[in-house]
Amino acid sequence: MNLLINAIRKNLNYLILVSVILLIAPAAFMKLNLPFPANALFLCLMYAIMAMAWNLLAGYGGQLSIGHAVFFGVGAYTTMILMLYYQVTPWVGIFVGGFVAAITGLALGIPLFRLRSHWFTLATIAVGEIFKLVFITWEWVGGSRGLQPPIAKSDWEALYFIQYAGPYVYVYIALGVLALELLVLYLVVNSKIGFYLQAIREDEDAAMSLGVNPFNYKMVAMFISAFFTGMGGGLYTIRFRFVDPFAVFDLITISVYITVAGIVGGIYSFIGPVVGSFVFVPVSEYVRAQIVSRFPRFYGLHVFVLGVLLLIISLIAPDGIMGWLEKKGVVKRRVAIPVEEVE
Amino acid sequence: MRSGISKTLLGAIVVILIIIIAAAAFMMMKPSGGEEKVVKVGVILPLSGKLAETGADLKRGIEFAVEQINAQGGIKSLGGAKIVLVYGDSAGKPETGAAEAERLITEEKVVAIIGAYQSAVSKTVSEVCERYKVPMLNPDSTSPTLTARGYKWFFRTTPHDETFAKQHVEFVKWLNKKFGNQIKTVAIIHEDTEWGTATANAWKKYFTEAGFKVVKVVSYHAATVTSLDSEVESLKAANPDLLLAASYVSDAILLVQTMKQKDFNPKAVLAQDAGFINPSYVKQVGKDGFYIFSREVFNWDLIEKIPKLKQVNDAYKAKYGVDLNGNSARDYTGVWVLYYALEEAGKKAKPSDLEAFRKAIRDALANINIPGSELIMPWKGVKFGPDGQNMLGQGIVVQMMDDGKYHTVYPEDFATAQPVFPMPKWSERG
Repeated sequence: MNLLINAIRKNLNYLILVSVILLIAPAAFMKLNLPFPANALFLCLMYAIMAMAWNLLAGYGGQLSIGHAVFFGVGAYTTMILMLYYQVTPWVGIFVGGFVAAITGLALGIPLFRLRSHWFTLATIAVGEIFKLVFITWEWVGGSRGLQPPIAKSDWEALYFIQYAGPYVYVYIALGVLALELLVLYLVVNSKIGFYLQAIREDEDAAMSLGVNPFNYKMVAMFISAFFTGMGGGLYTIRFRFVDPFAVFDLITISVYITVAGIVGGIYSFIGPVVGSFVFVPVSEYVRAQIVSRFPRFYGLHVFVLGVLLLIISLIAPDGIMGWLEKKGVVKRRVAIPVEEVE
Repeated sequence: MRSGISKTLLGAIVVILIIIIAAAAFMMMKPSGGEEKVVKVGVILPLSGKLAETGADLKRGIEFAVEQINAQGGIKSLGGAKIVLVYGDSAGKPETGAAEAERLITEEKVVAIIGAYQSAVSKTVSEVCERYKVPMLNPDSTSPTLTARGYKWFFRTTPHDETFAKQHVEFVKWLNKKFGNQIKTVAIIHEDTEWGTATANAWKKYFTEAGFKVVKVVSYHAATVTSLDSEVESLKAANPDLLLAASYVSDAILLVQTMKQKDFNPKAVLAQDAGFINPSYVKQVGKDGFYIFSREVFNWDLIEKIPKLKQVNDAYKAKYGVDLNGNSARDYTGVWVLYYALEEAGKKAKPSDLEAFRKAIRDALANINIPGSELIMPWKGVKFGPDGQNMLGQGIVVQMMDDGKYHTVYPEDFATAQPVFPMPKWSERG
């Protein structure tokens, strides 16, 4: 806790500046009637929340998951089902969604953590696809039709079910979730859990011989990671008010995007995934919306442009943006780094 | 090991945030157009992603109708105001469709929205429209649930999957009467999104009710499917008299090719439109697609039966090099229906009072009554029920004959050919 207070005190000016910008931006967008950038900001925050969560497992723990759509989808569905079938307010539902996702994570961790390195990664992809198929055929949760709540009839109902016009209110909710997550993760990675996880990432057998139980700490990381990814799913539910298995269990736009955002930002850095999301998501949104409307004949062009951008980033900054900034000396490296990179 | 987030790091974040906000501000500055009289209509379609090909087709239909309307003098009740289309790309995803709808409504200030093809996207788009009180005209989504939500601002011109499934049963009964009760068992293959599943469920329900035996139902995921070998094997093992298929484009091609490869010979194949009537499907399957029945909402040979159609199709083909198909013709018709509503609305309100104008369009749509003779579709007309569903729509059944073209075979009022039944076996084809 002292560590946190120290960190906050040391960076107070920057923190205030960033907070003020983020708090003013949505209100400004609302005033200026600009739903597009506000929606992009919401998506940035949603992906930042998930990429941060993903990074605890993948970056710190070295367990590369490309199946985080499972937790996103479970969180989204839980929030929706509670809201639709049991009239539970999503103010509570989002947290329950995170919790159910975390329990799912633990249940999946038992078989998945028997596998190491790329075998683990392959298994997470498979699990993601399995969840999609299960939800497609599961009639109680709407099957492939998905679920959509009715429109609120009064202001009170709108508040209870968090239904607001445009993306603006949701940006603030996402900010709140991200702030909570940053706080929790900061404490976790600077506690012994964070160091044990990095030890496991560097050499699982060596860590074991020093008395660290890799399975237990991977499970802890999985629990926290799945919890916040599930909350990301809850945010999706309240923002877009529709879930179907194709949207929330999507391999590319959820699992892979989270991974790309994390890697673009830099997985060996605490704040890297947030930076990655704030770069990757707006670029992909902007390119999609602008390029397509400029050149309607070449309707697949934006995917190509995104591919080229990714290629460039991976060529000039293989360690992600934060890794690149560290190499250039703009940012000081402060997280333990892989042994072979220390010269 | 230093503790705390370094100042330079936070500095970097601040710089990035400033860039993002500056970019947003830049996007805000739009070129200010001339003060010409225009009415902005939003269009949401899957213009990128897996369904981009279908999206492009739909877009041509919409574009073409607007060109014709503007060429004949625009909206006369608004002093000849031109219709201007503003596109939103759903990328085939419900959340992107919803965000685009918000952008079109609040930023572009469109008077109404047309779209969005996939039922899942139409669901979120119509939800946004309903909340913002913007009329939405849906010419092309066929999920029955869309008009079962009690929405006031949602209007659908096309008949939906249950109507079609009922009509399929009538058609098969008609075939049985004509060819001596050869169809008793039915198998279903469908893609697993909402459209394919809703279709399959309706088929199961209505065919079972009519006394047919459903012997096998298989599904697959169209966006990722690369092989239908095992699906076709299991269908072949069930040996149905009739195969019902609900597929998009690339999977429909794959299905026909796999059926030929595995020598699977049902007496008839009846498809649910979509992929099977797409021009690139027709081009790619070639001869292998002969004798397949498809439910359609539209067909080129209707020219002989619907006088208005010929001139529209001739002009369309001259411009784009392809004939109108069920997708482009439905969206074309959708724009005209909206145009009639705009004319009516223009008498009661002006687009400068956006809220009142949108309301006037909604009321005009709710009271619209277009006779079948005004349309290029084989419908009895356009008249919306209280749920927003066009009550006068109907489908047709077409069959691809050995000239490589689909011919209308049912209902008899619109038929230009006699059905070929049973379908020749793969081994008997030249």
